[in-house]
Amino acid sequence: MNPKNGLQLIVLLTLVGLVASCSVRQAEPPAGEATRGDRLPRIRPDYSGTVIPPNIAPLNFAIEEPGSQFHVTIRAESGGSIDLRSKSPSVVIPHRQWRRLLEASKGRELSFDVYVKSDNGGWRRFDPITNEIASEEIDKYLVYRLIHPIYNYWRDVGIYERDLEGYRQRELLHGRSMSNACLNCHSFLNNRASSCTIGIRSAELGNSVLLVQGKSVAKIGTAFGYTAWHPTGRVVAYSANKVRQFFHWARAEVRDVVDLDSGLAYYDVAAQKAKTHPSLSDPDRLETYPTWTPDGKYLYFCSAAFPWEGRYKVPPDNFDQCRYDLMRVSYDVDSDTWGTPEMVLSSEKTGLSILLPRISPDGRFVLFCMCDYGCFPIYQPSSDLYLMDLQTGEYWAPGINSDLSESWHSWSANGRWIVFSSKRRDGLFTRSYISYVDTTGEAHKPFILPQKDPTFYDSYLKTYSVPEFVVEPLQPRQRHLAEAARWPGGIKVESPVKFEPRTETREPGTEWQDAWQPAR
Amino acid sequence: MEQPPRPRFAWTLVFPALFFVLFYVYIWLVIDPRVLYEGDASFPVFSMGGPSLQAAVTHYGRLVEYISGFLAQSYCVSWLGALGITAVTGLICMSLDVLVRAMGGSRVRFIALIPAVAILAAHNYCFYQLTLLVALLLALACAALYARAPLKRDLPRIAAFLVLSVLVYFAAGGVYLLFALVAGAYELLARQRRLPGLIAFLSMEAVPYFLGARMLALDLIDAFAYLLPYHPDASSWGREAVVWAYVLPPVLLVAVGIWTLIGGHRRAREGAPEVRLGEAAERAGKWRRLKRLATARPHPAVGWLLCLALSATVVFQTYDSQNAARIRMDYYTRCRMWDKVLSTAQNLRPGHYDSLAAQHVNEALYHTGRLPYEMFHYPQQPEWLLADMELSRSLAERDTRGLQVNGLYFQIGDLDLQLGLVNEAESEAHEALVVHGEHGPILYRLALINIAKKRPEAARVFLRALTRHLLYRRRAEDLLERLETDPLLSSDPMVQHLRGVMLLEDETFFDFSGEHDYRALLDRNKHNRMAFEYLMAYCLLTGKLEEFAENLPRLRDFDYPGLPRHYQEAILIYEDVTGKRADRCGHEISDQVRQQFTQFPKDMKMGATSEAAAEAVVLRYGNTYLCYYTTGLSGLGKP
Repeated sequence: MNPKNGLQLIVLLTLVGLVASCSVRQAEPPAGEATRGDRLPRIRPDYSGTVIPPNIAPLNFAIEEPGSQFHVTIRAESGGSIDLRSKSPSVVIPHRQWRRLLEASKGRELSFDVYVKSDNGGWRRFDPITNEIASEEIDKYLVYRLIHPIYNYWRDVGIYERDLEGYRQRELLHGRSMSNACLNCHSFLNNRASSCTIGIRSAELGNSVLLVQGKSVAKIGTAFGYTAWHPTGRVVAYSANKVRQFFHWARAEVRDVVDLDSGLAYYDVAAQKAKTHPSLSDPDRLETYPTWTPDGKYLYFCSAAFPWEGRYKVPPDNFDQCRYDLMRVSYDVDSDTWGTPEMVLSSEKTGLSILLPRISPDGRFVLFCMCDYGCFPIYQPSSDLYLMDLQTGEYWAPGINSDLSESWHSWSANGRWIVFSSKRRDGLFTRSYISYVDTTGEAHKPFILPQKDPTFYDSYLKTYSVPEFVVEPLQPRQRHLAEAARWPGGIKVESPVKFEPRTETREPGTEWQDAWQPAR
Repeated sequence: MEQPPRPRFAWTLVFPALFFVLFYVYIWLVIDPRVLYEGDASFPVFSMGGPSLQAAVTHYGRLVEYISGFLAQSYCVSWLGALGITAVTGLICMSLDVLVRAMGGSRVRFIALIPAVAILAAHNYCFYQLTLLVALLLALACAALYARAPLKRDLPRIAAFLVLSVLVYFAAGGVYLLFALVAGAYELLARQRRLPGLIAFLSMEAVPYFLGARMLALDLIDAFAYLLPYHPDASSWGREAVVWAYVLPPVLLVAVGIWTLIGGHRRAREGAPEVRLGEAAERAGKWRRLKRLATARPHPAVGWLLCLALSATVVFQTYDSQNAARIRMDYYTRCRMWDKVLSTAQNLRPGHYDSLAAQHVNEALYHTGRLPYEMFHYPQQPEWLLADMELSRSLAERDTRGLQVNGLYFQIGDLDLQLGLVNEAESEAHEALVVHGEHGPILYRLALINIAKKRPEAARVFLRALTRHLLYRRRAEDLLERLETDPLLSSDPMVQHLRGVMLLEDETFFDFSGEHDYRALLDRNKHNRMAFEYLMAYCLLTGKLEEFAENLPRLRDFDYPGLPRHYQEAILIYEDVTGKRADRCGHEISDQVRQQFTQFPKDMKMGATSEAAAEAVVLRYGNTYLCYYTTGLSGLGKP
């Protein structure tokens, strides 16, 4: 390079840097000259009155107050502070300073002092927004699926790994690598990515499961529904579901889903065999959503009696009367023996359908959702999260629910954080929310997964689904996962759950294909 | 030493200029790019802002899509769109011209225009082709850059080729194959260097496999064929012509290279010894005639004139007026130019009259108040009233790939929304979003649906996404502003209409069910005239006269001046067939209809006697419900 050109480049870059730094710069707070506001400032996303992890990425936000200039002082109870001033209402917090501030203030308060300069030149100071910094860290990664709200067809489906300490999002696997396959539920062993399963549905490649163990990836040639790893990693419990989708004429949520039939099975990782047991797959009941206790001695699951006859009509009669109970069955992994199913919480008692149980890593609580009916809470605006103390059997709705659907939750490895999906912002797009759960089982006000651009969610047209905490990154690279998925071979597994109709009631026009189809 | 002839100014500048002026005028006035704007699912999605640009430069094949998406925005103004297409085609030809000259074909430069003829033919199918053209341009421009690179030694050339390979492959996907092929041909034929040529040819396999399938984890079909005309995602319309545009450049260049090699023209010009092959041929005598032909110097005008003649022939041979009319119908429907929809439909031949065309016609007839009077002036079939019915087939019957390419979901939904089937329209719009991408019209429809459903926050998400679309930005910002002051947009006439007709009582559905849906809409709002006319049209089309008669009393909820003509015909048939009397709501059957009804069976009998008589019957009754009910034919009579 010509040295003269190089010099010009350096000058240019310096100028660009100066201009950029002018947009958000650090300055003294206009405290003395500001008039006092008598309320909290409106900010978006709402990061107020919540408990945040000490290792979370900066909670950038936009100030929704009219003004020509904005100043924010982020103060920690321990003494440090960050001052930011900008002409833009977007508050983008420097990463390093934020991390230092949080690290030094674990277990203490963090407040945002917001000042807004009005058009007449005067500063207005709002009441400080106060949050608490928890002592316990959150798992470093969150794995989720990004997908448009889908009906019958899918396309552009990917599973991503987000670094919660920053904003980096890594694509783990995308359907485009596999003839636009759909990527289903991903499940991890004890919040570790070293053992993981990823479900794949593809018109061209068939349905399969990728079994990740360390750096190796194996393909299992059968479909796993909702999946749960036994804490020892020796067994994976999963559901087999005959899922069908239908629609509503006049409901806010158009989509609805029914399992015409379902049962549980388990995959022995070492023996490479799938099995089931009468306790897991009763032909007279619908079983789904398996989850293990941390000691591996019980498998919790949801189960409902069939409120309809036959297995073909979509939607079946009385589909809105189908409510699931929360049940459990004992299991001895060494002898591979199952006990008899026991009722944990009946839908008769709650009047609601109990779904998606997830047990805290200390085994104390089970977090589940309940909705008016059915098996698919994300399509039920009535779906709320509930906690049950497994020692007392008492259950309650933590104060983290909204009027819209809450579901698909996951515990952090230390059991102090939960992440869940909610449609609370707009009723349509699912976003991931994080909430602190203290030792008494109280869940604190949730906050949305932070993004670098505070207005990110305002126009983002994909949903975040199945968020799962993990403490480490997934080891195999995308190409290894894709190659394994495309591999025509794989571990041949005969599904032990058979959906045989008890009564043949097939009617013309009632034979449907799977609920979701690839777009090409 | 013999000096190569200097190309004359007139032939090298005036002819191409004249060619492209004609090309531009043709695209502007005949093809009319505005009818293609957001008219086809293959039309690219383009949104402004950092994330889109970032995705364009970090994802395989997206850069070409991003650039062509930006250029395609010009389609909304015909002359500007034509200018864009002409400019891209011109640059393709310029790149090819550089390559032709690099291959030693200075005297046959007119052949650089031949791909433009194929591009013109491709546009004659009236489908969007710009993305494929931009990809082609990138491959040829990079090949030209490579050919003209001032690098003499093999090693730097190989290095330059590999760098360009990565860039071209990442930006233009499978079109990279063309770049590598041309570069390889140049090395072998023009430079006569085996190693770089061999590497170029091998890279046609190696780069897509290692870079695409292995490193980027792409599907093999995507790794080798993404953005090529025969990729499954590419529109099948005009594919042959586009394939020609892709095939011709390397074929022509190889031909020029061989021609130059045989003639030894380049070597002779540079003072180098004749190639061995030529000497041997001369000695043997069998190459003599070939060489004479290769070194022959026809008048420069001959080539250019041939090119113009070829263009004119191809243009007239390939122009598909029926398809153009069909595409225009989509456009006129989008613009709500109902009279144009109907006049265009009159010229459509049966082969091109599909369910969507029929849906447009019926919608146009409804909006002009003519549906119950003139619907049988056009071809009709029971499943053509709403194109949704095509989707009523079970999923197993649908070819998902075909659905995507044909873009049915892209076209439907608006009519459902007008009828009041808001949730159905929402599901269709979401399908379109998933299958075809974040197109402006789809986002706008989803915003409107969510406003109607009193979900302003969800509407805002779609509208904010829409503000990144160049041509929808103002409309979206306007709606966002209005939502600030009136979050439910209660004063908006369209929203008022939707809330007035949308279904409130819930039922489940799997797909469109015709009569049941219309009845529910009328139960919701008995003044929903569109639902009424579609219900009656559905009954007429399916021959369900009992249901037709059952719904006749609903006429009292509207202010028809009398019984619409087709209803009169149906009443007479119903009364004749069942012996029952229909409720005519106080209206009378006109004498003309009554007379036709009496005369029809007799004329039908007469029609069976001779071809001329049959033709007369068709002309007289071809537009009546009597004819449709009896024969299943319509749209055959005098307009």
